[in-house]
Amino acid sequence: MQIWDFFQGIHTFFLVAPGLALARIFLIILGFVFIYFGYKQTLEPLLMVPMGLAMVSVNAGLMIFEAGNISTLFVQPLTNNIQELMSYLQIDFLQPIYTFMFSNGLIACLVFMGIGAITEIDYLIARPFSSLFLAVFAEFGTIFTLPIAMAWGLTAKESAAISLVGGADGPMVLFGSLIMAKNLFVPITVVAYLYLSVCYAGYPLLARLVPKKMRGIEMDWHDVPRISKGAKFGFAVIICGILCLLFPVAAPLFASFFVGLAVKEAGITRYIEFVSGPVLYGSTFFLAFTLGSLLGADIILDPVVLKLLVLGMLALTLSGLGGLAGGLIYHKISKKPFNPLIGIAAVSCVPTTAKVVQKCAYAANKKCMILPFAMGPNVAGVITTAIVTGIFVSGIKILG
Amino acid sequence: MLIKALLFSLVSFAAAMVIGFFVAAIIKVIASLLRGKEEVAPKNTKR
Repeated sequence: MQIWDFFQGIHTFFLVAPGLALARIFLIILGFVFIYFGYKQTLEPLLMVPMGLAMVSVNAGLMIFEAGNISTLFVQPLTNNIQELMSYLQIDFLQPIYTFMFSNGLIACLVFMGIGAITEIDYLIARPFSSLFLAVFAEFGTIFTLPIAMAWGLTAKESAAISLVGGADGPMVLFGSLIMAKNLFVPITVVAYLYLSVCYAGYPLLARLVPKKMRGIEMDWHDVPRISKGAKFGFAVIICGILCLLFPVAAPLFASFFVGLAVKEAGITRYIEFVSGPVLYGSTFFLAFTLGSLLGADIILDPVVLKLLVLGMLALTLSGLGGLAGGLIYHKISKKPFNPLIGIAAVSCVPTTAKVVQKCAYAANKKCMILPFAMGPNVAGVITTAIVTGIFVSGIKILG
Repeated sequence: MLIKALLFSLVSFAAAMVIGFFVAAIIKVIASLLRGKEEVAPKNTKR
């Protein structure tokens, strides 16, 4: 036994390929950067602190197993073999969360329940056409990444599956890849949840494309009628049933979101406290922590994951730009003051993008409060992602 | 094939817009059924 065997985290730097070792160092530094910006509240601390810490730990904590394999005790996402999976479930401490909550979308549904319990849907009820108009524009990335992915060598079904990342709804992406590209299900799972960091870090940069004066446009509160709790409760129940009937592909998301909303509007205090507290923050914490632990150098350097990562980022960027274009068009045609940044909120990723645009608008004008207006297109974004998923699943056979 | 994929994308965009407006119309109908319970925010006040 040599002294290096006691310090396997360091020893493994010299055992792996130089590219992998450099990637580990890069991801450790990136983890520290995320933690720093989370601590400074430049990026969302709820996500960045646990995610950054997991990134640092997973890339530092590599060790040598009995068979000579170099791996960690965190999680093994790239496995399809049931026997291997059973073994990882007993060894890797985050494997149960990944297998039973992450890869089937349960954790995202729990986040949706919590979000439902803190969401105001007055604007969606009052202005459904403008909300859906913006949300369709914010599917630009989902729709136009498809031909780009095909040009890059992916099959039509694989291209459609990765394009769904542009809709920024994790469970819908997982469903799409299960139906259309089962062979890419695991790497797409990893890529799909990376949208969280992209939305937080990237969309404020897109918002800067809009002149500061327009970013700070205040909207008229009287434009949104107050709706009684009873009416909102009725709306939540009826629209949930109708949307599940129309789009079964997104039924788990709709059911999760509207049960949170129904609990809130029904005033069931104990459930509101439970769903908007432990459920929302517990699932957000484990989502971010598990996501960070998935960002190991071996996964990031996998050529397939790298390709999907680039296409996923492209899809989200195009969706953000599409939403912004929709916002600018609506700003032009609307007779009332309309802040075009709301278009970015239509990318869905409830409520991340709505919070991001509120932050950008506030930075431009300290009196600007657009969050309640942004929640309408934000929720409508879930509906349009379900629509596009349905179109892709049923129509992709045309492309072979 | 790429042109076919691009056309598919354009048709998908148009279809999403049409179905989106159909859903918006349903929301509008439900909202109008609940209209009696709406309360208009009083003028000159901020919520």
